[in-house]
Amino acid sequence: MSNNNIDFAYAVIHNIDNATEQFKDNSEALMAKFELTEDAKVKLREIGDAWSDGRTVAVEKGWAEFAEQFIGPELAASMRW
Amino acid sequence: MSLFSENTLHGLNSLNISKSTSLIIEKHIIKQESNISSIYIETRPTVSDKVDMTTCHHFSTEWAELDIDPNSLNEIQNLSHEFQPQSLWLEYDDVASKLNNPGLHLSVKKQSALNVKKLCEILFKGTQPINDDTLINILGNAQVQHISRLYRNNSPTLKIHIKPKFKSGRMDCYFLHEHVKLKGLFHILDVIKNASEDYKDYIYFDLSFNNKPNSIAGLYLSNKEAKNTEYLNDLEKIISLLPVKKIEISKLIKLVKSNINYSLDIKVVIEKNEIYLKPYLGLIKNINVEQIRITKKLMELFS
Repeated sequence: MSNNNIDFAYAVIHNIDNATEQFKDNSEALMAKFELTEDAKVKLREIGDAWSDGRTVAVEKGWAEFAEQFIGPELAASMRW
Repeated sequence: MSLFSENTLHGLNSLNISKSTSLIIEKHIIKQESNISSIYIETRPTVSDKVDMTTCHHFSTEWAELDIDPNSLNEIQNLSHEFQPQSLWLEYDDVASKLNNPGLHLSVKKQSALNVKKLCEILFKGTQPINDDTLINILGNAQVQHISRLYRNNSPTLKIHIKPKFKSGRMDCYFLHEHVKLKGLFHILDVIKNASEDYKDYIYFDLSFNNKPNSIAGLYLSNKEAKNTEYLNDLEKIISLLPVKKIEISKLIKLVKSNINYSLDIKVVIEKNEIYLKPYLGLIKNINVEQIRITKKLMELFS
């Protein structure tokens, strides 16, 4: 299984190659760089919109959903030796 | 004690490990638990106090708290993103004697000689344990899943874990002969060549390189990609084709089948004069724990 979503989260969390700021400023370019699927992009756009509007609760809910729906399924394989 | 530690202890008990070694592992796991994503324990068929352990540390754990040389860690974190490993692993060959001196193991993301060489530079500090031709040949025939720096026979050793590629629907592993000169490998490769296509998802190899002739190789049989829930019967069929004593096979299969709550793989060790089996017990932390940790870190950035 590819792990583009984990890769994306890793880059954003550690601000690798300025990914955190890039996601805040130009999320489409960053999502394209990581070749995310359309459904993952939809969820991330929701988070981006909520963050721009200052809707903190929606941001938190969005990340929790993103982790559950897109990170979780990729984690099992990446935790195997 | 957490459920993860409890499960680990149950797993250790099932492997018939000596009490003293088991205690060393237990203490280490309890101490490091928050920074461990999964643990693999490998035993030898006859020596109960010699146990190898590998711990996985996913990117959401605190790498700086691990027993890793700070310079190497810094170099890893300064790699450009396309080369950065998502997980670091610590490998304790014979955990009772090497708890303070583990080998370092890095996952390989981009399948290129440049990426593997960059990681080798970090692990081996300028000495190149593998030449370009060998590396290019391996990458042409297999996916390199991770590489490790271990100390074997007092010599820094590069271990490469590979998944042979399917080419035109077939998995041909004969390229391994160029890198491993072990008589037993011929037999193993013949078995793989003739095995059912259904079995080939389970097949992985470990190759090692240092300045001496390659004297050991490992065939892993693993349902790593979780493609088949009934994989144990397949693993039994594959190992029954290998030149291993029937009694060894039945003992191992009994152990594997009595531990279905764990991830249990089988390693076939190929040495100069013998081929033998090892159980490989995996304990993976609850996915939710890892997921929550990642979510928390993402939330902090957008609070």
